Amino acid sequence: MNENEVPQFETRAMNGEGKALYAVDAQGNYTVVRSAGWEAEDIVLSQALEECERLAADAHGRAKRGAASPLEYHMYKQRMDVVVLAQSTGYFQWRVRRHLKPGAFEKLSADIRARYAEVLGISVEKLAELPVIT
Amino acid sequence: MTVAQMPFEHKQTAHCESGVMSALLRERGTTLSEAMVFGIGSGLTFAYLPFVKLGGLPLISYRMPPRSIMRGVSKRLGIRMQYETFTTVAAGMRALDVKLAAGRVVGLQTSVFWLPYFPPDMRFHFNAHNLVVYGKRGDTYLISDPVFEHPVECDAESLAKARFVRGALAPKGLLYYPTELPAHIDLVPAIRKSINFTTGMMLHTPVPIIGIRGIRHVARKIGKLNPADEKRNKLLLGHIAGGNWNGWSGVSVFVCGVSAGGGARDGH
Repeated sequence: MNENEVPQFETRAMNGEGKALYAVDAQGNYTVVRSAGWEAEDIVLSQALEECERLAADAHGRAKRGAASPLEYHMYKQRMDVVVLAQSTGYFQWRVRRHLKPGAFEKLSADIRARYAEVLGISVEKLAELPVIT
Repeated sequence: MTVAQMPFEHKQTAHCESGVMSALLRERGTTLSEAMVFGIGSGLTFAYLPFVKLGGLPLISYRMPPRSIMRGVSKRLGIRMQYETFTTVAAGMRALDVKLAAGRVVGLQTSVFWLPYFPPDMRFHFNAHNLVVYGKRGDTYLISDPVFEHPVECDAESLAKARFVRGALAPKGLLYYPTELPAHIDLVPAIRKSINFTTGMMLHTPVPIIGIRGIRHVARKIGKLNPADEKRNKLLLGHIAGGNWNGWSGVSVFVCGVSAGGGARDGH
C-alpha cells in the first residue's frame, strides 16, 4: 500500500480518533500513516453494533411482556451474552440462563444480585429495573 | 496517594502488544520500531479454529496468541521480563502503585470494555488489550495506549475493573516490564530465527487450518456458503474481514487482530 492509498474513511465509531497504518512512501520506505478509518471496517462495525442493539431491544420487549427478567436486557446492553456473563460471574451457563427467566430472577438472593450488578457495572437497584426506552 | 510521572514518549502503533513492547524497550533506551518488534516476535499467523466457538462464529486469528510477541522478542534478543499476576484487586493495584512510585513504567493487560477513554462504539469484551502506565496523578493513571494518537488517562476504579475482569483470556491483573536488557543487541540472528519460525508455521504446519492451508480452507468455506442464509453470511464475512472479537465487535478488530465468534448468534 502506497502512502496516498491509505484509506481515509471517516468512521463514526472511532470518534475522530485516527489509526496508525504502515504504508510505503515516495522513497520506497515504510512509514506510519494516519488513517481516519476504512470503509469495510465501518460497515462491519455498524453491522455488529446493530446486532447488539437488536439483541438488547428484543430482550427489552421480552422483559416488558414478563417473558424475561431485566437481567437479560442488561446483559445485552453491556454487550455480553450468556457465555461472557457466565464466565465473568463464574456461574454455570445453565444457571445464568435460568436467571434470565423472571420467576427465577425474582427469587435471587442479594449476594447473587450484587455479583451480577458488579460484573455488569451497574447498581443493584438498576439491575432489577427496566429503563424506559423509546 | 502516589504521585509519580515518568518522562515518557507516546507513540501510536498499529497493534497493541508489539506497541507496548516497543514502548517499554524504548523507555529503557533500546529503540526498536513496532514493526521490528512484531517481526522478531513472529507476530504474524493465520489460524482458523472452528472448534473454538463463542456463540456461533469460529475463532480466526491473524496474529499469534496474546503474550507470544513479548515472549518471542525477549527470548530472541536476550531480554529478561518480569510478569506478575494477582489474586486480588487490592494487591494488583497496590503493586502497580509501588512500581510507579519507584519510577518504573509498566505494561498491563486489560479488557477493552471497561476503559472509559475508548469510544463507546469500540468497547467490546476483549480481554487481551495491552497498554503502558507511565504515571499517576491523584487517583488518575497516566496511560500510553499504543492504539491511540495521544496519551490518555483512566481513573483507578475503571482500571481496576479492566485489569481484573474474568472470562476468556482473563488478564488476572497482569503487569510486566523488562528487568534486564543486553548491552548489545544483535538483530541479524534474531531476524533469521523469527522469519524461519513464521514461514515454517505458515507453510509447513501439518494441520489444514493453520497458515496457508488455513487460508485456502477458509476460502473454500466461503465458496460453499449457502446464499439463502444471508444474515449469518454477513456476520461471518464481517467477522473474517474485521477480525472481530465477539462477532459483534469491531474493536480488537484491527487493534488486536484476533477474531473470535460470539454474541451475534442466530436463532436467539
